[in-house]
Amino acid sequence: MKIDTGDTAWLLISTALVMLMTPALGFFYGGLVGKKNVLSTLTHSFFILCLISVQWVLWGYSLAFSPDTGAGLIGGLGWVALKGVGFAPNPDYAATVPHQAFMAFQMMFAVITPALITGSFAERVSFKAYVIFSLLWATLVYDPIAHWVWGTGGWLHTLGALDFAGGTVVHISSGVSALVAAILIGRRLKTSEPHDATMTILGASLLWFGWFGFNAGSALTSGGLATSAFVVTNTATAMAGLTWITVSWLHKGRPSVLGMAAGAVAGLVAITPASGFVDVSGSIIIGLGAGSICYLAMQLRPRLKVDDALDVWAVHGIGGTWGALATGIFATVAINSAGANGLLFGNPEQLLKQVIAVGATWIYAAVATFAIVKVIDLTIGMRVKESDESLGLDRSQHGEIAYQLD
Amino acid sequence: MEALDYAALGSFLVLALAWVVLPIRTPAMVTPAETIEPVAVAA
Repeated sequence: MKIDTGDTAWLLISTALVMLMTPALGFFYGGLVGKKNVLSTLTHSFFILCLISVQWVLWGYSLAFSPDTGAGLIGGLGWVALKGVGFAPNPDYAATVPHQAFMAFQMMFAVITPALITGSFAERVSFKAYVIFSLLWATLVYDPIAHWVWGTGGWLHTLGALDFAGGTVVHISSGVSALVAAILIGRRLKTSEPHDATMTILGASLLWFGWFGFNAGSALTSGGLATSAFVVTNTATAMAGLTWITVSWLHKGRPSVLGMAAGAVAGLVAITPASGFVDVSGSIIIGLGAGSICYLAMQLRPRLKVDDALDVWAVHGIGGTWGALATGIFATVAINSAGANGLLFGNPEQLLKQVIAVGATWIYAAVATFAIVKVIDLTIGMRVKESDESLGLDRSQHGEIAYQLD
Repeated sequence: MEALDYAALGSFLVLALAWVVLPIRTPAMVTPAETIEPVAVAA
């Protein structure tokens, strides 16, 4: 098989773009917390970039993408420490780029997914517990679900469920896990107001930028499909930002700036599974749905009394669910002949497959996360002491502070 | 144009209409002077 230099260049650039999303997420979250928890929140993203980068090359990639062990549930250990993952293309995944380039691209998805969850337990979880949780979650939740959906022989892959860039694998898994973690860990002693909205807007902007690599890079080639994914990603994101700010304006009487940023992220989430399968009109409806449905989901938080601190479930869990289902409605083979038509194009069966993928991901992520959090809580404890929480995690966990203002 | 295209166009136009007609509710308790007060920094 011949390596295509254009495809390889695009995939490596996309890998770097997706890498940037994780520290960008740190800034997005960092602006939303109180000023005594800024460093710890940034660290939740940056540390995971280091942690999962090593986990992935050692065993994560093998569990997710190496040949199936037989039941469609998990890969084997044949590619541990990248044994057999070289520079020749692997036609099962990407026929025109070095296998290691594909591996590195997928690594950045594995990195950002557990980082998304950290927004739900911000400002109260001990650093030690967060480290163990992230490593266990990546291994026991992310790697299997990635195998189900994207791995050769994965059961959802075989079923024909569509997920172009990670609606189920990344967003539903992290969003649902975030909800479960927030319920089990409990509420903060005191909620915080966003300490720096500008940091959040910067983070959202960098997320949007990096997401072009996430979605358009998932074409794994640098041609028309990548271009289509790029255009619909931008369109859905813009439409979701416009929708959220308008709905918040209608609801609260003022157009919310932070709401616009959250809406844009919800749009990015929702278009992710659909980005390689829908046309531009479909992406506008997906953005409209993301901006309105995720806004409504966020309004549930005070009523449910669950302290999902930075609304990970509302944006990623619900946004990912809407995007995965919308893929089954708006997908068309006119955009991607390797995909399938959705409900709107005469194939209701595709929507059923999407429902199965969504349901399986919700259930597995919830149950596995419940078990992981319970085990950690019963052994080393998930939360910091009350006095440490009052002091702030920056001082109590890291002995550092974000700002020297006097 | 197909039904999906009309739906996309219509949804955008509805938002545009909302930007024209929605009033902005200014909080009554905030005065311009308050917005430029220096913020005390805890020692």
